[in-house]
Amino acid sequence: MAGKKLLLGNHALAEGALEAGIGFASGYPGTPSTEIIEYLAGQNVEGLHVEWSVNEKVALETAVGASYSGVRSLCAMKHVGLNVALDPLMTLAYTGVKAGLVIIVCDDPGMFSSQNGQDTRHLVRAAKIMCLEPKDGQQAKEMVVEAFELSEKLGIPVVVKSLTRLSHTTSPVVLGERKKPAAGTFKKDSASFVMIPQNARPRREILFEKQADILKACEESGFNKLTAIDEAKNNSRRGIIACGTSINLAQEHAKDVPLLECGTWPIPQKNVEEFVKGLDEVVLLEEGDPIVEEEVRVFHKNVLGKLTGHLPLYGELNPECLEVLFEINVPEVREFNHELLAPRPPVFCPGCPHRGTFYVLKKLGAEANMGDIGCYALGVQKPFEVLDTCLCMGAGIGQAAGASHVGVKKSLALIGDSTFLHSGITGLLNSAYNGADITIVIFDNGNIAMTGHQPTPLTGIRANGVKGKPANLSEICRACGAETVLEYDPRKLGETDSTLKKVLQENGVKVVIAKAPCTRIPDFKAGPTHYVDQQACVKCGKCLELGCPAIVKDDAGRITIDEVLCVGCTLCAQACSTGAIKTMGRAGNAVNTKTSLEGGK
Amino acid sequence: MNFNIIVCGVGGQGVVSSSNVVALAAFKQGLDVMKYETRGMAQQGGTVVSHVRIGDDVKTPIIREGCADLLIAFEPLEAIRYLNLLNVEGKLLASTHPIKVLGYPKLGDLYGELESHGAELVDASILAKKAGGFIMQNTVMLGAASRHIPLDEKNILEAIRETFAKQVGVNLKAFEIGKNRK
Repeated sequence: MAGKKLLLGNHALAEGALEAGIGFASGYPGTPSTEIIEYLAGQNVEGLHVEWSVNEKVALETAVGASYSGVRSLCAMKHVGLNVALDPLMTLAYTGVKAGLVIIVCDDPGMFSSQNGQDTRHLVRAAKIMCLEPKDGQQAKEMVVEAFELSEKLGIPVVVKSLTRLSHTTSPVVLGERKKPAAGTFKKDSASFVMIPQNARPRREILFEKQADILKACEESGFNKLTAIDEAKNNSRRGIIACGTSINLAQEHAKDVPLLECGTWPIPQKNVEEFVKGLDEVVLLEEGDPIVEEEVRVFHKNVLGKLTGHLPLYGELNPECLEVLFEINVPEVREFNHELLAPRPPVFCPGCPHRGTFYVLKKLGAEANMGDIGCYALGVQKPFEVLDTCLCMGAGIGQAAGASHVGVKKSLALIGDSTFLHSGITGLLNSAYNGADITIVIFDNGNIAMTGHQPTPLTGIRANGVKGKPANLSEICRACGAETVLEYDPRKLGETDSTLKKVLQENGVKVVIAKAPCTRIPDFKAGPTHYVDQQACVKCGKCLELGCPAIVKDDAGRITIDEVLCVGCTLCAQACSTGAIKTMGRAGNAVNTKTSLEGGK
Repeated sequence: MNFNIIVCGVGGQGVVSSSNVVALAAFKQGLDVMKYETRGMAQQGGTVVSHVRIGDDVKTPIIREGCADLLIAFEPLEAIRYLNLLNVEGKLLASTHPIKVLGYPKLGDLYGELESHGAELVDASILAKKAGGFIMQNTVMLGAASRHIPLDEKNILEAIRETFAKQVGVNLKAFEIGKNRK
């Protein structure tokens, strides 16, 4: 593998783990972290176990088991995933690790694909551990290797914090040799690992004692370094302290200002103190919250950054932000007619199996449709506007139950298969136990769609493609106490409508499983392309209510179907009031799929 | 000197693969390169944009407003969406084939606006069908834009071979058709 390669940031992070000789890797898919585990699973390294865990908490606990057994372990997740894994993490800091344990957490400060923009460093600080924050792909790889060394040297889990703009940037990376994974053996050490209070109290003391070593490791780290500049040019006596990707922003747009690269949390206090001495002003560049900025304020009275209003408190840093602080060329921007800019928000794909359920749910008009995290959250948009909430993984079931307990009639939870397995099972169990009156719709589309079609336990297929035993969704739901468990095909509007109406009349906890495959999985089979018979079309617009990107209205008001996008799901033909939507039959004859579908019942 | 390229289109059109080709070709040529694109939420149907920066010293991946030297759009409305990124002297190529959404502007207005910015409008969907299918539109556009990309053609062709390992022939044909269009 050695040599220089063009790599995605997430792949560079994964390569670092391979060079460190990991024998275990786990994670749960979540943008922007997904490609780390995907890449590792695709490498088929002998002696390396890679898994998609069911959620981040289990992922971390499994990694802990491997680390306690003396094997270097990696765990990868997005920022909100760390909330799920926080319970084991907070006490793992007490127990410490045996072999190195590194958690890669990918933040999303621009909130491109996340429900919040939280900063992982708060949790690192709360756990009293340390993190490294790379500036680019090359450093991403190097920091993961170093993180394993530090984890073993300090006896703590170490976090490597990435973010969207690094994880999803492709750049050249120099690779080294991969190290062979070790085999695990578990040595008993109950004083360290069994956190009953009499053991946990001394372990807490040890964690506090480690803080000085952690700080020392940060101060000695090569990732905190000073970029010397020609002093003659720096007549303003100004300096920059920058973290992670902000380092490159500073180097590109303020290269004549002295720069202290800060790649660690905690900050290297000695280095900072030395650097700010004699400066009139310190500019602080960091993505996320002004955490380093708060720390640096202890060492200098004139720190310019997010707390002083010089930089935005939230969102991503970009060259435009720096215009306030530095003289940056402002490029001329083209003027154009902004009225042309029709928005193109993400939509359900043509043939998406979620479409039928939302089409029917809109007509049913239930009082509360509590949503969840996944593609189906798009059901909040036009033309459906069905989804009423979206909080965190699995929250919809609890929300629906809560609403039902205080008198809300017809309270639904809408949740995807993988999200249900991640955090919905406990919600279902709780709802049944406490006598909620709710209907849970589980979208079983055979994959984790939004993050790029990873397999779920319901398929039995593991991260490396090996087929294990598939979990049985209906049995899980029944075992948790669901009184009714029905399955329907959301590609059939009649069946969808009758199934949902039936369960909504029943009392108690009901589960309906909308079972139909995502159109983006490899073995999806498209049906024949549809077209609109213009002579039969009365332009009623019923097909447009499906919000299918393949169905378009042209400048003259004609409704047509884009043959390239259509996958032949037949929903539009089913919704059509006049049978004007047809497909070409085998002999090239027009076939009305609405009548043929009804005939097939 | 760096050269900044925006590749944009609609999810499913191959924006990511095409920008991979450009980045890989630059890498093969021994240049510094950084490439960033939207991943995750952008499924089929959403807007997708890829930033490709190549040159002798590339530090950050994002092309700021008014700083792209070349904009390659696989869809005409998407060309308008990222027009603010193109510098005033930059080159603009756009496919004429619309993928419509609610409130899609009149095609005449769209083409007019693009032409007023000096766009080369490419009938990429028609050319793609000649190459082997509508799906080849992205490589047709890459071929059409290739004379504006400051990279050796042999590196671009090599990058196409590596990126589309399973469909090398049709992609090379699509590239040629795009490059040699009238």
